[in-house]
Amino acid sequence: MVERELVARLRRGDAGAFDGIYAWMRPRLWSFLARMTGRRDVADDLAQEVWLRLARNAHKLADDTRLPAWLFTVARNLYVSQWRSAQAARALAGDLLPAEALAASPFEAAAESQTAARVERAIAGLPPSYREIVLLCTVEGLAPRDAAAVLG
Amino acid sequence: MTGPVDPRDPLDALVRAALPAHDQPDPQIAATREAWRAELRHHHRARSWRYRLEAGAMMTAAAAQLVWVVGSLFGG
Repeated sequence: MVERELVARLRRGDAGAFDGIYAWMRPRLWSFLARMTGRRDVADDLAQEVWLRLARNAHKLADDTRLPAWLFTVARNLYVSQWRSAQAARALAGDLLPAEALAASPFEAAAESQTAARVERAIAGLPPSYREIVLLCTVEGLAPRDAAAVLG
Repeated sequence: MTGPVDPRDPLDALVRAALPAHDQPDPQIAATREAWRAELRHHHRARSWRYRLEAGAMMTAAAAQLVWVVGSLFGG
């Protein structure tokens, strides 16, 4: 019921509702994008685009929209587009670019313990298709139906 | 409000506990907030009747000017 009310307020363009959902979901979305892209700067850009899209499309949200699933879907789609663009650029550049380094977590160096560093490294080492499942279900705790909706 | 946590899966809880929350620096958080607020203001303005009337009037004036220019070129 709380989420339905939030969606209704977003549809009306209630700035307070936007502030609320920004505070609630921003860290989660950014962490997801940072761990998927492996880069804080790319995650910053993609995360900002997620919020811009919410601002542009909030008036079209369905009454029963599940906001975390909606936001993670947009975030994931932006990540996939960015990844494809990066792959295409690498293919065009051919031998001009150095070989792609192993996936690294943007958080591994800042981890406060060896356990945290190992978990970050393990997640970063997963193939993207597995990594996003772990991040959505295990780390973010999305319900299975929401995660399925995000992943299509 | 926090995301749902499945209390039945201890492994999920262990992974979450092992991953401290990392976040953006405050300036970036503020910059993104200002960006979507500006987008929201622009979007509300663009959907207002007054804005639509103004935009329609401007486009009509531009079309009329184009017709006049073309007419001047070919009409002698």
